Amino acid sequence: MRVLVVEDDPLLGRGVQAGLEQAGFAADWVRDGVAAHAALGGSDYAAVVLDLGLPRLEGLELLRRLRGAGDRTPVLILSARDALEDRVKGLDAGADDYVVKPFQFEELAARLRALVRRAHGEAAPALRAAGVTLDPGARTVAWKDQPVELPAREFDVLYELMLNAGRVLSREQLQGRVYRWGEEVESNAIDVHVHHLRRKLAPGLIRTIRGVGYLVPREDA
Amino acid sequence: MARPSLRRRLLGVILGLTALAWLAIGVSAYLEVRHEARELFEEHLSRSEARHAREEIVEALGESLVWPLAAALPALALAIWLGVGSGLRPLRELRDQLAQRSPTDLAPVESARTPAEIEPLVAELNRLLGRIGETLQRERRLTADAAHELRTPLAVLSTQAQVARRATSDTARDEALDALAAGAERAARLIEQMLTLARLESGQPQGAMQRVELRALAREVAAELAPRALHKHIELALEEGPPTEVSGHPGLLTVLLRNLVDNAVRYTPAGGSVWVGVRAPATLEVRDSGPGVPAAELPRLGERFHRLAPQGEAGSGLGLSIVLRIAELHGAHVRFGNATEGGLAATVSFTACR
Repeated sequence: MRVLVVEDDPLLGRGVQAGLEQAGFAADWVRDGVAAHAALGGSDYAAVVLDLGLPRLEGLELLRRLRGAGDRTPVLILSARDALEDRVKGLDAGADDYVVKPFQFEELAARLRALVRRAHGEAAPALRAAGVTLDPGARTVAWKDQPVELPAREFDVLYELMLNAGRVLSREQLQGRVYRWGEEVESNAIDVHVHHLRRKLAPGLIRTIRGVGYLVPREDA
Repeated sequence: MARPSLRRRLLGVILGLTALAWLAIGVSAYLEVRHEARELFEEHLSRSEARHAREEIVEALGESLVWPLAAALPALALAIWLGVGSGLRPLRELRDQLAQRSPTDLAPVESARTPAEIEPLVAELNRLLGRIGETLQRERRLTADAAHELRTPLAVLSTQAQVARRATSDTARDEALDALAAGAERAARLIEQMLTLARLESGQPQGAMQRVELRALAREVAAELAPRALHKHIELALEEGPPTEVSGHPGLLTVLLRNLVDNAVRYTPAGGSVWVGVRAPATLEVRDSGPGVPAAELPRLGERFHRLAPQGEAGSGLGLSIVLRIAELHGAHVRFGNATEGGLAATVSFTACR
């Protein structure tokens, strides 16, 4: 799951990026509001971790602009400002959650997963389709109640497809949501992951829509 | 000793004056009557008859004067007591209003029913409440800022510690540990600066003022910071100027100049220059070839935690606040402007020693 970290402090920004990577996110990091605005315009992020007090374009101002332009990407404010007034202002400006620094990564990651879940209209934390169960928090997958070991990227591809069950995702979309900037990606990487997933899980789970992309059918459909 | 009471004093003065006036009227009436009676009676009556008649008249006069007074004085006293009391009721209401307030309630005092004599007092009280409110607001903002500034380095430490604990490779762990160490260093510097400022704010520094030679001070600070400038490929030049002595605390003046030069070195890109010098009359000057400061931002320099550059490059956000406070303790004047070389120019003007 790809997230954008907006943090002007270099030590903290790098730390948040590294910590989220360890928690299984693909995290991009930018240091100011203008860069964040550009990044959000160009890529498809599952969520944004936003600091306030950014240079060039203030965090709250960036948030207002995004919401004003109809951007629905879940935004979690990560700020050292803990005053009630600041938290209320942040949420009212369009943020979906507010976490005060210092924080624990377990909580930050869980909140991000919850935001993404809500943004996709899901209530249950575990995703289910064709006998496959995926738990985003524990990052585990089971098929017919038997645990299946998946490499990180295969898990990410499956997670995106199951989260968007019933919708076709193109190779480019999947690639954009699974890999962060600057990662070396083979042109057929997504196809290879899907191939492996089909071999390890229910063969009918992931459908190919020729010329368009891949699809996991909705459970109830 | 009991406080003077307005009510008692008014009562005393009015009753006393009334009694005195009455007494004067009585005495003068008595003397007049006695004089007239003597002339009249002595012509027509015998001596003893005349005395008897006179005494009767005086007695009657005395009674007619004393009884009204005896009756009027208590009535007057009661009227004054009640009148003053009701006149002072707005003051009592004001007192009740203030007594019921919580210490954080700094709203203006209700003054619609206050008499004209007391209105200026209430207006002044409200102005004072307003000023206290502003000060509190500023303090609250400052506390929020300080909390933010302290939490950020803590967040760096906590974040990098968590990353290091979970690192799966040695390089990732070392990277996180390096960042952890850098974060700890930054937190230490911030706390040091906060303590310095807090000590400076809490009053006069210890020790007596001494004569400080500004050229020697500039030399000392330039020598101290030269290695850092060199490391950043910045030329640190000393412009000595005329010998100048000012009266001050040598330690604090060193901190002042070190902060100015440190700031200049920090914000000047590699390849640039920083000039430190003394000018007549009794002025320290630090200029740099850095990016300078937009004119609109110049007046905000020295505000606590106000940073121009993105965090991280910047220091604690307190350096210039410390400079301003030390200058204030020395009666010196700090000016920020943009140097002809393009960067920031800071001057500190002292009163020279003769």
